[in-house]
Amino acid sequence: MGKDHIGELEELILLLIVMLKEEAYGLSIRKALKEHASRVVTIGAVHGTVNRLERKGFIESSLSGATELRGGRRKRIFTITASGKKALQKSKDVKVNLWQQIPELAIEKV
Amino acid sequence: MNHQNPKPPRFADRLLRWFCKDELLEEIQGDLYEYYAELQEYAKWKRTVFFWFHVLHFLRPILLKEISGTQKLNQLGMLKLALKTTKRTFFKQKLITSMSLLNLVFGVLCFHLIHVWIKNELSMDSFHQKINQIHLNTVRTNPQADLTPLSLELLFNVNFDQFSEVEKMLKVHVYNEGEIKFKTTDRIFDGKGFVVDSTFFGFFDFPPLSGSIDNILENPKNIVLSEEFARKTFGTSNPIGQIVEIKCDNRGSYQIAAVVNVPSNSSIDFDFLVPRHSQNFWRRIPQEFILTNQFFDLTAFNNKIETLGQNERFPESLLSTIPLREVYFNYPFEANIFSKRGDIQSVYIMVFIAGMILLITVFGFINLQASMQLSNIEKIGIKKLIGASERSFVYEIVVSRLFYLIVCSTLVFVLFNMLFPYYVNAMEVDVEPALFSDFVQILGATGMAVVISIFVGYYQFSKVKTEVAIRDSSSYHKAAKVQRTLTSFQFGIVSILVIVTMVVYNQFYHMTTTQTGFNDENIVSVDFFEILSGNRSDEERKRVNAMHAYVKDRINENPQVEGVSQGDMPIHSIAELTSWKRIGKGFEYTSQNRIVVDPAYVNLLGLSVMEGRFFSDSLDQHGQQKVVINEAAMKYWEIDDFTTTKIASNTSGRREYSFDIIGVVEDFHYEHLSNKINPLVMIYRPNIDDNFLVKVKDGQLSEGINFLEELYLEANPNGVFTYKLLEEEVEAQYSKERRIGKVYLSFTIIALLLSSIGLFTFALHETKRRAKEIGIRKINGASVKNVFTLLSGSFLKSILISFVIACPIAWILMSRWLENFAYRVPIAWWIFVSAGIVALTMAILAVSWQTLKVAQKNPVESLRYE
Repeated sequence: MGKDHIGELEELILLLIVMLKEEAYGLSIRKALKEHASRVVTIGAVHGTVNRLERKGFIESSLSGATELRGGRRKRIFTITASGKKALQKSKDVKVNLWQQIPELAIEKV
Repeated sequence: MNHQNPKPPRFADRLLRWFCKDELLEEIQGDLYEYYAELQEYAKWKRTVFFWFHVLHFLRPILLKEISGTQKLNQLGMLKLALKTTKRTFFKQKLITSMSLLNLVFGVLCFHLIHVWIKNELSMDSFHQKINQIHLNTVRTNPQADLTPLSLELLFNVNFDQFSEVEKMLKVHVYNEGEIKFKTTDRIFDGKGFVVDSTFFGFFDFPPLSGSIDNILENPKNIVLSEEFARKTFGTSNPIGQIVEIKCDNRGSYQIAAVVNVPSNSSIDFDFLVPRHSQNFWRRIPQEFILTNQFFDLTAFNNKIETLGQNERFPESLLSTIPLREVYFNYPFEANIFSKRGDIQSVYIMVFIAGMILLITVFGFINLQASMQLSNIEKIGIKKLIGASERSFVYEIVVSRLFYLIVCSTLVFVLFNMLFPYYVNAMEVDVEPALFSDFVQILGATGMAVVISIFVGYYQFSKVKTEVAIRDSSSYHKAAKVQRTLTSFQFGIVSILVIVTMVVYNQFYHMTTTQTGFNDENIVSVDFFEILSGNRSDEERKRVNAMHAYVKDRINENPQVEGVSQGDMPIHSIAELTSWKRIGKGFEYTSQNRIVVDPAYVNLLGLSVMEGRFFSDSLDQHGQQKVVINEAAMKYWEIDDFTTTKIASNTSGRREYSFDIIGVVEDFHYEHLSNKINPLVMIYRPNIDDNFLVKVKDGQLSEGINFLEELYLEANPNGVFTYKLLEEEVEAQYSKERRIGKVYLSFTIIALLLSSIGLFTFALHETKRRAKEIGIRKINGASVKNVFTLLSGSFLKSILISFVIACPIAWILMSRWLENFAYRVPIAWWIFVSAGIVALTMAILAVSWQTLKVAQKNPVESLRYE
């Protein structure tokens, strides 16, 4: 697996991080996944993925926003990095490119 | 949202804290708590389950805590590493690995085979749910006589309805194989048939193959088959609904209504069950069971019924009932209803052997694993130097032992299921395999060896000093004192087993070759007449008497017959204990053996008369007060001149009868050879219904039996002819001894092999350690022979010491065992010598493979190394 390659769940989560902005932390990402992508995953799966993304350098994070509900524990808020954006763009380009190369799909779209 | 802070399950939380990376813990816990708080509307248990579910899904490599220390590894990585090192060690030490496996597989397999047998034996009859309520009715015809299980209701007119503690009654007439015929539409089969009351399944829980059997025997047209017999008679086709015919003293046709399974741990064994009320009368005297309720008290009940049976015919009879669950081990009845009799002593012996084998196996395994670990001592030293934690070593030990656990249990399980049928045949035992529990037990036994070896491995590791291990690794090899002790211990146990087996075999050989003092060849025993019950008419009696005389004449006339007698067979438990005393000289009544004979008895069995004469047709009559005694009785009563001595009996009634002694015969073994020849009194009083002993001329046995069959059918037109051969009956008394001998022999050989494996690897290890030393010795002029004796000597010394220690232990054990026998072979010195030779030969074979190889090696090779 190449270092800049991203998987499907990774891609979804990256997009959601961009969308959620200040509210992009573990549990909210899971909720958004359910809402926007109809994907139900465990909290552990989300954490596993964001950790992997962070290790690859696609996102950055900072701790903030402890609430009583969380037992006084802070959230880790994720923000996308430049290389993250690049990876997203690349992934999109690959797909668009492929779509366009397949006449049947291109016609159907019209 | 509710502002109360809900507390998530504590243990799940703690678990998370334990495995999750510290730096990620805060956010993860935060998310989980928030998630838990959002679940407010759900029931508590649901929230708990959800929470747990999510916590467990945090178990992914990227989130797991790393191992502290210099290596950055998490648990998974550590497992991978341990697996890799285990694999490498195994490939490097192929010999030790395979020997370890062999040792463990072999040992556990044997242990389990014995274990299965013991378990079966101890669980005998326990599958009947009402086992504690079932009692067997018995009688002693006089206070000294043996207990006999008989129907008290039929023979002694005891009315059990009067006892409120008795719930149900069950009578069982047993017809043995050959005595009852089972006829399907096209074939006739022999089988063991029970004629039973419809309450049978209210007593016993033989599981039906299908459907319910509760009321099945109430229909007099139904018959129930055992699974095995159904297979024998109908093969794979469905027997239910088939019509069959039964023929014994009754005949009738029945419809097969059910098939039941008779488990191997049932002492009661039958092929088919016939409802008793399907015919008016069954000639065979039945056995009788009672089912008791909670008000039953054994002693109180026995007191109540004890004297109920005393009538004219049995003035001294004592009735009692005994719990069925005690019958198997405590009351070895000869009654046909019990097809198996237990022997608690052989259970103990087998427990002992199983323990010994397991011990040898565990020792062997520990030993082999320890030497494997020692050969890696340098690696351990280096790892320690780099800073490996203790935990990582434990991890490695555990993983490598788990490999053995998995591979060995699987192998044993497969082998066990393959070998099982042969085992059952060879050992003449009756056991059924139980797949799941077998596997669990195999796993348990292997697990024990493995767990102990883990502890030993850890102990050994903790003793390693880093510096010494690297600088002078060979010094550790010397520390194998534990190994040496264990190997010696193993051989000690093996020596004991070898001596035990030799003594046992010697004793059995002695017993089977001892002259019994009588001639048992070509003697056929036939039961011509059934016991006449008390209520037969005089006419009937006359008819039977006439038939009896006719049969006897016909046999005597036959040219193939040498003689015929209606005396008792001289085999175990036939003689009846009755009370006798010598009149005068201050003797009191004591229980003595009595057998019933007639004048032909002495020639038939070839007994020799020492003094006086035996009964004769011209001088004596049936039922006279005369006896012939044996030599032992003469000694016992201190009789000098038998013609002037009288002995008395008070058995028949309370009156005393005095008897003249007319002769003395030489001692002969009328009981099992383990018994001393006890005093014996012979009286001339056979009953019409006693068995006929017919001696056929040599080489004409089959013609003789054919003749007897014809005659039998003439006397009993509806009967089924059966016969016994005295020679076989005498042989059969020693079948148990023969079986025990076989069992001992096989397990001793296995123990011997197991410990040889241990010794072999020990030698392998030891010779490796001394490779350099031997090289130097050889350069300095030592011959192959010198080196060989030097190396082997060091092993043989410890074997010899263990043997010396084993001898007295074996001696004590065996002299105890021999006390069971009246005529015993002394434990001869040659037994110890040959046991020693066997143990030493095995040891030398095991050792010399390695020592010879090393001794013949070119010294250059061993010295150039390094």
